[in-house]
Amino acid sequence: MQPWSQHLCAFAVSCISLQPLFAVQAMDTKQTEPPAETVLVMAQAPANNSGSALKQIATLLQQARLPGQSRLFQQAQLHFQQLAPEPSAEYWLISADLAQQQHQFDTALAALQQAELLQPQPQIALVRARIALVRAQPKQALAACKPLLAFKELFLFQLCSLEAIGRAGQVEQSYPLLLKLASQTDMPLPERLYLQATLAEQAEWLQQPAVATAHLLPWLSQAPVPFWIKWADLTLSLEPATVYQRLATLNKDAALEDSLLLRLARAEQLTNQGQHYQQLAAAQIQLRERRQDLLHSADLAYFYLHLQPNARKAQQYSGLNYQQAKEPDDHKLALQSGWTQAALDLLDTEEPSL
Amino acid sequence: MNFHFNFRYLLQHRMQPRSHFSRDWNMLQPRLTAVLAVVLGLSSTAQAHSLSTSYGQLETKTAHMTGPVLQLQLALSDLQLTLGWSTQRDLTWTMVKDQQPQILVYLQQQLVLHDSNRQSLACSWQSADSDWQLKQIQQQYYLQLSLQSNCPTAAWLHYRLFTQIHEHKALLQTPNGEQVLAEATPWLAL
Repeated sequence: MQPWSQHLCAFAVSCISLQPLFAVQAMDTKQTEPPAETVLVMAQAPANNSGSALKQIATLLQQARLPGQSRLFQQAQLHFQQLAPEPSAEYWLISADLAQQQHQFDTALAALQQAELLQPQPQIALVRARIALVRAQPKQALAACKPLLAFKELFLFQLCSLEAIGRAGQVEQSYPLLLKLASQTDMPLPERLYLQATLAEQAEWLQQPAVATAHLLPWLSQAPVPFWIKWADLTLSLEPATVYQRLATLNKDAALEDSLLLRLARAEQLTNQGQHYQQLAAAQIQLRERRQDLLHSADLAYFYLHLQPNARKAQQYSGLNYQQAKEPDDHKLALQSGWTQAALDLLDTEEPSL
Repeated sequence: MNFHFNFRYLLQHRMQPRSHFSRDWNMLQPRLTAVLAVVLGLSSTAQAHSLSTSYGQLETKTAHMTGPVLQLQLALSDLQLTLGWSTQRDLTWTMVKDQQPQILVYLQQQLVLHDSNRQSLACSWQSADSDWQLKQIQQQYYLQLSLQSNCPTAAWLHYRLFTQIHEHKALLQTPNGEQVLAEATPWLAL
């Protein structure tokens, strides 16, 4: 038994009743007596303090999307909560972003409406289109893209529209046009990432996984987590050792988000490199189950589909996930877990619950 | 799916190089957030943010106890955020120990014992310095400490730690099994 459990017994706590907890935490629990100056939580990169509080929160939200940085989301949200609501479009755009990341789509749309009343701008159209796509509503997404024209944002209008068209099933038409867009060399990184991710998604649907991977690979080191996930999923079956190497390297800098940790564990499993990341992933999934979280259950479905097969749980969690998000990967996960389209349509009428 | 789109309409807007890419950083910055939000959405459902979780064990009915005993494990990153410690500096064990008085005040304020009518009791938690230890759980560092109350009549614990942190939850082992506490479910029967 570990020293701290003996310490508990000194308080006359029932050691027997604590056994289940030890079993759960034993995966990655260490009692540590550190040197006084050991770094326990690393400092963040120096903040840009020159901007307003809202600009700093926006910066945090951007950084939070990079691998190993998602804890900054909590910091951004905390800072945002401490601000008094203000009549600026920037405020309501951040509010919408925070809400959509928590799958509170109606709240996000209401915030976008507030932002639009104060100052119409292209971002509003993009986020509206995004939400429509998460809800598997490509027609509405396409309509949401149109205001971009009024702002003379031709590139974003085309990209936004082509993504929606692809989601509507017309990939043969949209993909060549996306390739034309990609021939431009001069574009800011975020827009490049958006374009490359859309290209990869559509190349995958056209049964060209190697091409899809090639759309992502050159941009990986600067990309946010979903971009990495898509790359890992495309690469795992062909080159699991590459996935293992790159994700294990990333994990050395900062503990990865569960979605990436699961891909790393899968790569470890496929390449027989031991059990370390599989054990970490199992403990993380066990924690998510103990917390009884309803959000982001795609991770749990992935775990029970690929890492520790359990058909009942995979179906349960992929169904729960599909009730909240209906992007192509969510749909694919649900079908892989045993759902039929008819059953998924019925599921849509129910409230999410465990 | 019944979906008709006029591709000619899209092509009318020639895919031309953009002349306004030279906009300065300040103008570009708001665009970054929105566009990255869109990129994120390509598989947004796959990403959970890092989870804020505290752990604990509660003991209430053992001989010689003057009140409930609570052993807690609190993520250092949660303490850092909530107590306003600088995130621009590396956090060390020395710094954590230096903040012991502040941490204890916070715990006194946010872990409130109540009687059977859910009226708050004027009780305090005691914690011996030697009980403060460092623990690593799932690649994160935690502060582990023991709290001993002087409140034998306590019937409820009202848990309000880290309520400002997105989706924070506490997993408490009690004689009745594990309880999940959160902002929406803060009451624990003792």
